[in-house]
Amino acid sequence: MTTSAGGAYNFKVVLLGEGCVGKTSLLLRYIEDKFNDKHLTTLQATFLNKKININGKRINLSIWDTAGQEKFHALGPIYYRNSNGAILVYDITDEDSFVKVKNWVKELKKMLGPDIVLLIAGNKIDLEHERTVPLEEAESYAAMVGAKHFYTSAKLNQCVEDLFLELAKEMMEKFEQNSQKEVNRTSRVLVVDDEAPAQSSCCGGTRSN
Amino acid sequence: MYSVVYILDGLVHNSGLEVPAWSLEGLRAAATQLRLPRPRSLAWAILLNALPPPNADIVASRNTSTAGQKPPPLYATMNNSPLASTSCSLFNPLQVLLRVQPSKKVVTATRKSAKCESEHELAHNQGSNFACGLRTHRNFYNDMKAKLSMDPRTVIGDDPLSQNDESAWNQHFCDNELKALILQDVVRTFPDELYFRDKDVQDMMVLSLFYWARAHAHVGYRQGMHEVLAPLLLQLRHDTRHAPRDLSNTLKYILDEEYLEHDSYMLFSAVMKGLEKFYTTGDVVPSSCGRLPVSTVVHNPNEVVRYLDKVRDECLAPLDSDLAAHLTQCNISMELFGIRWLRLLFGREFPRAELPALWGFLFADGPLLPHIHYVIVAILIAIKPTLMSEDPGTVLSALMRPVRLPAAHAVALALHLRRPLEHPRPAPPPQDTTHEQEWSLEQRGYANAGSDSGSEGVAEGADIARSLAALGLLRAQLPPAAAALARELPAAPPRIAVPLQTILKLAALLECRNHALIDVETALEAAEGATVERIGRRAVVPVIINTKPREKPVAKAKEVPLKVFHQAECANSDLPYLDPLRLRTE
Repeated sequence: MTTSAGGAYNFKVVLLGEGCVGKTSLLLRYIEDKFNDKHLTTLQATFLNKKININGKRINLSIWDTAGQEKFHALGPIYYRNSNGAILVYDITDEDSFVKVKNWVKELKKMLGPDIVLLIAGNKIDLEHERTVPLEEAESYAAMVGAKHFYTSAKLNQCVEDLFLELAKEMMEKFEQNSQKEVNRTSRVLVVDDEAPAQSSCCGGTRSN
Repeated sequence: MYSVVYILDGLVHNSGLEVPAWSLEGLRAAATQLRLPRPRSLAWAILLNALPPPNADIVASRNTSTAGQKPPPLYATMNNSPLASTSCSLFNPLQVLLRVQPSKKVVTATRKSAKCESEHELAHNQGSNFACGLRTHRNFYNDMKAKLSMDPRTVIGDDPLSQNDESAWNQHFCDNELKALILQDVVRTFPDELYFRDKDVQDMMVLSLFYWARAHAHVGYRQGMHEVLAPLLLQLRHDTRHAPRDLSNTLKYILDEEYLEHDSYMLFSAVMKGLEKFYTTGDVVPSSCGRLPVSTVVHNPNEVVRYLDKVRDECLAPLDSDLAAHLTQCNISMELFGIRWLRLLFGREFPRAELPALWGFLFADGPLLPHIHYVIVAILIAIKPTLMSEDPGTVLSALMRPVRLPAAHAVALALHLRRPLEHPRPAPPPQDTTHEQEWSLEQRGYANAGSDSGSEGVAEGADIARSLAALGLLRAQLPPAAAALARELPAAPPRIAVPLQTILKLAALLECRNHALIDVETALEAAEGATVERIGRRAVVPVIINTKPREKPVAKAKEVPLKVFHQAECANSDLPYLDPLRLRTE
């Protein structure tokens, strides 16, 4: 999926999470800058394209928005297979949805190994007063699994753009690293890769490693 | 004979169709031509074998049934009905008797006593198999409701903390969890349809879906079922609301809005009989709470995936090998879009107004929908020009959007593919493939850019967004197209010159940005079907909207925030355990 033919990167991204946490809303905000608190239930999955430009590099994001209830269903793999990045979304007012994120991390790590960039998004921070997922717990969990954590609100348009931008950057880095590895491997030079420096985000995203 | 004729009288009065139209064959023929008589919901029920057709055969055999040559068709039909496979027999004395092979005498007696219970039918009880079938369904629903809504407090010796599978309390909590799961989807049913914002309607849908899930534990509730139920509800409601006033008593009983919940369940069960297989997930069986178990690594491909692969290999590939090969080359498997198409019966692919006719067509082949794959292939072949794009992203996006295709064309093509000799291939529908290619997300953004101010505070957000999108597209593309046309036809013959001038004028009007607000208002009026003649020049704008590129569906462009879920609504909820969910949605 990841080719840089013609200088453009093609990345596949998948949005995963419990039903009703706001996956479609995040995507709708990102792609069309719109919010609507009553849209259709996503069935199976929908697909959207987004072209962006980072530091003069063209990136084509193919984003799969999946249905919440289908998460542990036989069809899950066809959406995340070959993904370069995944955004795991939970609702900060719904503890169950955070448990689902943990399940997803497990499944993705098992199925795709370290090649996929994971981001965790705690959505609906406009409902901060109803929060049930403790801040520290979410952030320390994200740090533990090496995923950056974002607090987003599709409704108030908070951090949505940053979320996708960060994902794109990390996928690019991973891609560069991997191609670097290829080069190193062929020239029989052993290089210990340093992880990319953690980048700060407006939402206080933290990251381990 | 009498009341059947009576029913038919009512129906004829209603639809203007000939009496034979209400035989099963007549209905099938009408449905295939997308001309199903009203009330459509009754016609659907007959096509789906949920109710017996009120035809002469049944009357004849009912009259001779006492002679006992064969069971009356009413019973035969009931045996085939979706309910017969469930625990229906527990509640229905007729079924029980049938199952134990009763003597004819007993059947007759039971039937008589059952029939006489109905005050509606006393006058016409001789031939009203139709109403009788309906009443059986309604009674069945009531009994099921009573059984599944058991109050755990009435069960002696049960402990609310019991984890025992047979504990009434445990079941109660599981039920509430399942209802909450269903409600999550139900509140999002057809966001632009005001009817589904009614809390009572939502609760009714939750219950219907819940009962069905409990009665079909191997399938359970799955996302999408609510959008199968919703069009059925709309049609039933439409049929009861728009029935003529001077109905016979029997027909009044049949079209009683009191029984909306019962009858929608009957139709839903009948439709699900065919759709069920597209909802099951192979070896994964939902728990009694409706949750699917945590995934295991390897799954058996489930039935719907196998079915879709078969459609591709055995139907699409022989009919259009290029298209099949291209989809494979783009790495687009049928299930990426086909599952949604099947599970919702194409509910999101076509405009909602076209659904009743399309569904009638699908139901014409009986409840198992044996020819539905021809519709899938017909849609794919009809939108082939778009699907043959080199860019897999474009192809996928096209398959994720509503297909811009009249349902009538898809149906005609499906008939042709199925029986090419009997049905000629329909002419391709007018399609603006050039625009189709250019219709990118960026353009959608542009087209909507001006809409934000215009649509603020207006209720029908989706319609307005679509109208504005269409207007934006027109503004972007009509003037250059008109200019190009004028260039190519410098000395147009009079018959062309006049319409060309009209187009040029309209293009000029569109280019004038100051008219933006006027245009919007006019477009809105046109969309509401209001007569706009009186406002003169402004009225010309909607003319283009109707004749030029079809309205571009703007996926998920309903940006007008309508607050629907209020905490206050929870106060008198019948479903106390659902409250947290409502709060959360708010």
